[in-house]
Amino acid sequence: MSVRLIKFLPVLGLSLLGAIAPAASFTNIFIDGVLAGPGNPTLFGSSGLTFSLPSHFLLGVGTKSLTLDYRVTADPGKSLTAFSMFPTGVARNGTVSIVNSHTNGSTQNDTYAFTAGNSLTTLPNSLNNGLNGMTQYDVHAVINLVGAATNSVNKVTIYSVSYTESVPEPASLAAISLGLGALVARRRRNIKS
Amino acid sequence: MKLAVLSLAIVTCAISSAQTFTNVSFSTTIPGASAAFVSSGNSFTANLTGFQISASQLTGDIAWIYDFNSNPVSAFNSVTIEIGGSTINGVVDFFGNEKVFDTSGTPFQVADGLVNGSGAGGGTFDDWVYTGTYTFSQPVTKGQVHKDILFADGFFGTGISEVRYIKQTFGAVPEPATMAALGLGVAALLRRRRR
Repeated sequence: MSVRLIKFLPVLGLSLLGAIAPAASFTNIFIDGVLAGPGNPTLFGSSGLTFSLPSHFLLGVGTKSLTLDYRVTADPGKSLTAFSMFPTGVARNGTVSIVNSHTNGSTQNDTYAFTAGNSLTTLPNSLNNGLNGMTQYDVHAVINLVGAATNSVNKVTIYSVSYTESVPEPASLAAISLGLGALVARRRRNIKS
Repeated sequence: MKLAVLSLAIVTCAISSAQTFTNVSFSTTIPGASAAFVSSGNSFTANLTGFQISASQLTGDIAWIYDFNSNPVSAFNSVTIEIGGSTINGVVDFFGNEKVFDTSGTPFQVADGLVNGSGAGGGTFDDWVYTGTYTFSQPVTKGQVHKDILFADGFFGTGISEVRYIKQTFGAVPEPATMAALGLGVAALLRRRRR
């Protein structure tokens, strides 16, 4: 094996590692129709976002809504296969519902709903809502609060979302291996000649 | 003996200086209220200025998010919250939630704690403190804290309440493997010196 090829292999290895590490990206982020500024949202793990929504609470009887919009894009060569919702907040005598719409050609709606009785309760997470494996989605989320009694407390003042990306399929790995083999063979031929 | 003392000093230094609290996002609905952040060892505190609930400001909410990193010596396995304030002629109620996530890979929740209590005061400002401890489902070295607290004066009265600080202290897990490796190294050095 030539010295040049030995030097080349670590670079190839690093680029493959880069392709394997999950890192979805987020753009066009709006909170209640206003373009999100720096510092909000922040990153949540390697493929997620955390939104600060301090004013999204409701005391007593009534309803209140807030919208989030963003575009999520998978790492090159990967697709988005699932997402999870992590609302941080509480509910008492009311309902918290979150409708997530993922659009790329068609629209997929996923609804989270939690109703609390007379005792204060933390909001549970919603894990592994499957997606149909596109590389990009425009997302529209609506967080609704409904208070049913005078002592109702409902709030989602922090909201996180995290995406799962597909790992390269066996077919893709085989293609990469074939390409690598061809490269090595070509180099050997060049060295001999 | 001198070598042993030096080794202990290095370990102490590594334990006390390595925890970090970063990417702090602190927002509140009370105009003009602000927070100053102080970290000390395993504790991270938000000292509040201007966070006051009264008849003219019946509610105030805080959303506090930050990343934490313990270090190779220890992981965190619990968090204790302490909220301190003062109230005159009334009661302040608070409703909140504290979630802690492991974010070293795909994020997952390791703690979910309810923050719910009240602080009352008579004819003079009376200080109150609320504490709560949440144990993690498993030790965490790299994570994110989500804390939301709503303070309200609307249900019970028209007093005046100030919230002065929110302190979070993490419980640390000693790592037996690290300590054993260090002990072995020191023993080997001592043996070499004797020879």
